[in-house]
Amino acid sequence: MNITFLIIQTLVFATPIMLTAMGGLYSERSGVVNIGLEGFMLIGAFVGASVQRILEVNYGFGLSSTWLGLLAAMIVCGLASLIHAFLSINIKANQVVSGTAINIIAAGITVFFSEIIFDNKRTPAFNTAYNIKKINISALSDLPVVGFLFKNNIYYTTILVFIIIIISYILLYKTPFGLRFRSVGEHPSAADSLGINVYKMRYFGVVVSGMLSGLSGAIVLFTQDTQFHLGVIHGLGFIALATLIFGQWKPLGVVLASMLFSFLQSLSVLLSRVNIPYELLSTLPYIFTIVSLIIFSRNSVEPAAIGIPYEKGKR
Amino acid sequence: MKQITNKTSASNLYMKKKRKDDFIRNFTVAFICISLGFAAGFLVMLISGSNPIDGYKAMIEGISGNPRKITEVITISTTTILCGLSVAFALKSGLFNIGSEGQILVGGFFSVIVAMMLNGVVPKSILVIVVCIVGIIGGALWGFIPGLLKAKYGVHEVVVTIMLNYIALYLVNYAATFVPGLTLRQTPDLPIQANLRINYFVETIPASRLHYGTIAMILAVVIYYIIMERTTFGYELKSVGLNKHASQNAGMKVNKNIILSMAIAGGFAGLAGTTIYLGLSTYYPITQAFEGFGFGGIAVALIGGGSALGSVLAGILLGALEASTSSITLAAVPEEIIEIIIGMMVIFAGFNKFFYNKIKYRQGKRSKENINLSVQTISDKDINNNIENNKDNNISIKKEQDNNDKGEK
Repeated sequence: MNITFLIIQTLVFATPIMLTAMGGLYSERSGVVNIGLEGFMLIGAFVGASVQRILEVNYGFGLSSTWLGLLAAMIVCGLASLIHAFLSINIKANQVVSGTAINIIAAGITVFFSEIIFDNKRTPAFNTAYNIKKINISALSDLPVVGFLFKNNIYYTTILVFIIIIISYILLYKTPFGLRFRSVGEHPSAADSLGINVYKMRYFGVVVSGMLSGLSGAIVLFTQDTQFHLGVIHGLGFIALATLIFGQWKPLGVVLASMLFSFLQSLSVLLSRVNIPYELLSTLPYIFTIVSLIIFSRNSVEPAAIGIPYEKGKR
Repeated sequence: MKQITNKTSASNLYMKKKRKDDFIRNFTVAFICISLGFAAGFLVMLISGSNPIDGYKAMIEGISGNPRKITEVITISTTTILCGLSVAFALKSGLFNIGSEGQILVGGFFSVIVAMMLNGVVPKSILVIVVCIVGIIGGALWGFIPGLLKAKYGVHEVVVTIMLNYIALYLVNYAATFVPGLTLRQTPDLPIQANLRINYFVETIPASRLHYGTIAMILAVVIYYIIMERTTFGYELKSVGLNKHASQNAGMKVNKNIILSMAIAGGFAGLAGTTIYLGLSTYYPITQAFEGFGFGGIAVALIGGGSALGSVLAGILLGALEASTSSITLAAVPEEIIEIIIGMMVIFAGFNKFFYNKIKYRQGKRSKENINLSVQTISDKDINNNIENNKDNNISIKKEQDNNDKGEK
């Protein structure tokens, strides 16, 4: 019972972290630091909540309103990330600056529009009937070991995220496009000399990163919360950023790192039922991340051109 | 390598002129960024259906209506400036201190505890000095850890500081459970003799929060300026920030500088924590979220461009904006417009290079003749000689390097 709880909880926690870190991977592998992941998640959560609410209440959409909310979150964040892309690629601004700006603006603009639209700092709590459903396939639930996963325990979004990660892995590592894409983050001028459009590649990376983190924000909202409020993301974007670095900028590394982090988080939830102070347990995943970073720090493989704006003709 | 050490009055004049030009340019750029931030706020209000003119009017009233409102600007700016200094200090040495939040919590909590212990034991003047120092130590301790890990193991300081923020949040909340008189929400309220607030103003201006932290802040700004502009240590820090490897080659102790830089940055944030929990409030609240001042500090450092003066001006700007929060809601504009404006300013601060070059181009056109005049006084022969010397040196150095490379192979 406890072990299944651990696994399920781990998957719930890990889903958004993985997805956001994957988004960060797209951006950073193309050479653009994206510290605004947190902001994009917040925007995604807000857009998801409000679109879902408006479609459900005003237009009578049913369950589909939730999925449309996810889609809208993805699109809006894709558009919002154009700001970051424009600043860091065309204007050649400091990428940390524009990422920070996005975090600050996101915290303001989401609540601002929540007050304009719903007259409250929080969106109304959504109808639990329209939450994201959990997978329930009776044919598969009798399987010996993994059967419980299909018995109303795992959200559909978790599967969606795994599919996205697998597709990303294939796209980035098994196709010529992926090779070109990664080369832009390592040595842009070499890539440019081979006829690869560095700017386009970087735009692609940043926009995909925005879309994925927006989707992830909406997933957090629909699977871990009941309404949008300022604390809904509570630093998950930064955790994802740490996961990305911990996972050595690789898809598998990112998956494992976020699983590990979420496992420790679920473990601390579980253990807090046994008389150990909750506050001390809560520090567990964070301390563990630092410790493992120290252990693995020697072979860090940051993309070589990360954070450096590309200027044509510069040596 | 022989360097151009020709300190003729002409080159001095040139440097002076250049410095002045740089200053004007930086100032103009900052001014443009800030104006555009306000313009963007205007637009957002307009689009969202609020009245922007009312909004800005309320904002101005919110910071200038009566003496209390002015004191609010001063008290809040004190904290924002300190947070800005913290981020700017690390930024100057090439480190991104995203961990001010954690350093604020640790420093602030330390000083609250010490203030509780010293309450009634020592006179207020001593207590104020002690709690400020304790706050600095607490913050410096929390900044020292990422610095050490960065220097020793090469761990990315961004990750470590993010993680340490959360660790600080939970650990301090845990430590607070041992504080006598703790309620569910906060540690016990500290009376006037044990917090930073200034008796005189508390009595004369109702509900004002002016506190001694402001004096500590002014001292901190001066120290920041002296370290950065007047000491070898500051020079080394900036050098490490610009190019780590070159600094290493020049014989600077890069690792030592990284650790010290993070610790000092943490010290500034720790002092900010003291001003928050003993000045702005008089207790430590049990919270599950961060104060937000640390992220404000990033904005201050970025808008202010990292200099002492810039941080002060940007800190006052942000402090004033924050102080006007309560009155802007009266104009039926959601208070979050403040954050949007700040964020927009940071975005435009991202444009600074772009603006900077534009202005440089115009300035250059205007004053080309002046500069030409002053440069010409250094005779062409001198310059040529220098260039020749450098060339020779460069070639010999290159040869040496080649030899070394071959040797290694």
